[in-house]
Amino acid sequence: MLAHALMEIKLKGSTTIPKAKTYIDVPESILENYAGSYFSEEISMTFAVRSSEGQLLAKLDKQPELLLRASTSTTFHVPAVGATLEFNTVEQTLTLIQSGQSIVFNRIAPETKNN
Amino acid sequence: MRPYKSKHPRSTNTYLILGLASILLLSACSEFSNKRTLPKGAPSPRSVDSLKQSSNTLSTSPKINKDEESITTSDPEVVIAELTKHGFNGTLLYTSPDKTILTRAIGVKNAETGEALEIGSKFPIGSVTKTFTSILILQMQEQGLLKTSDTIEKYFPNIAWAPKVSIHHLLTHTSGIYSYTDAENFFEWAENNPKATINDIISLFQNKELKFPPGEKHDYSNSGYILLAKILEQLSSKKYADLLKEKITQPLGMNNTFYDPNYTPEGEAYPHTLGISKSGIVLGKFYLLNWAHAAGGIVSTVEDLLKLNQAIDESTILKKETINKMETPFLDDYAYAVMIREINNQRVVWHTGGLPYYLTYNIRIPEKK
Repeated sequence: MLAHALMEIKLKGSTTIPKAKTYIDVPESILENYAGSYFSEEISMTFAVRSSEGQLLAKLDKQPELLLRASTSTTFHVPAVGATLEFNTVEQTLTLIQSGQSIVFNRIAPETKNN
Repeated sequence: MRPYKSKHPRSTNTYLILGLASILLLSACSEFSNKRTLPKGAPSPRSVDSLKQSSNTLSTSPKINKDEESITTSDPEVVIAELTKHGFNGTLLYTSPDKTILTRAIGVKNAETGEALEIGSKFPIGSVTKTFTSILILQMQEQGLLKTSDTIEKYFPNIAWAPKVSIHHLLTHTSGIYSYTDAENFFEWAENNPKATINDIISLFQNKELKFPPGEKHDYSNSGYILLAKILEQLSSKKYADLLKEKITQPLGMNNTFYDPNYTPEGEAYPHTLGISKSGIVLGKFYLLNWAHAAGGIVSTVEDLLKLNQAIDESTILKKETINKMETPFLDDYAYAVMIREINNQRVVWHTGGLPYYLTYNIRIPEKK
């Protein structure tokens, strides 16, 4: 992305790049509320979410586990892939937003900490 | 990160050179895991095509767009500052005829020790190596030792398809030779053969049928550049590493550029990948470079690659007419170890280099004469 953007300035005069998020620390007590498994009927995939040492980690099916970075207490990001995850503890959902698409995952795991 | 004191006053063209110790774009990671064909050198033409479709809007200061998710800017410093936040870990050198000279060393050499990268940190440059191999071949042509139109049977009398394949085919990836890095579980082989020689590598593909008649199409083949190295070694009676030093790195003062099959990154840029750590990256596995050899085994720095680019522009490493030939695309925009693309009436000359957990871009935009 960096090479492309600098080349674009040279060739086109300007470039448009994603704005980097400012991340915040979310208390572990809140992160624990998000831990659990979430399933999407739309794509038949499961997100496994866990908290560890003040960080929130998510794993989509067999993909590598990724570190989530918070911009608000309910909105988390995977900067490397341009994905955003929004947690809703009332609806018990996790919404994945990526490439202009939103996919809702419903909480299925019994091991949630806020039950 | 530190400001750059210009040591390169004769920058008449634009150069953009990056060495990345970690690849933080999932697309790049996926490419590695899916294709198994490292080191793929040529960048996706699509990535350059997209420039043609991008905004023509000129702006003198960064503008946060209405969606608040993006910034439009004409300032390279803004781009670097913003994209650094996205997780770039590597070195960058950007020079332009308007006197813009930017260098950055961002991140760490080693995520475990936390030692900071320096602008002179060495990176394995993957397939940017091929540009060096191509230059060595073209130097031999200038000396009258070979012609790129020569077929290769005299160098490889025991390879059945050698009479059909020319040096030009090898240079342009149009030979149809099976690329040995495409083998299933290739990196298991590489790991189990740390002492593999150039002959061992050739034995991996010399008995495979050609995939298509030479010259018919472009099909990236690392094998071709291994054969080119063997030709260089036969004609010079020297090892590729020694020839590289004698003909390119020493004359150009590229003191941090070499091919060493036993190289390990102690004190230099380690391979990194996404992982669970405070910095978001962890060490990746380092593979010895013997398996990549003349197709991808050179180690260098952004400063040294700038010297190579300048030597090409100033025709000090090859004659001007040879460079013109080197930069004449054959099929799919690929010339002799450089990709060529015309964008907004400006010529872009580049090659990328990918190894497990390393990525290099070497981009040159010659000024219009």
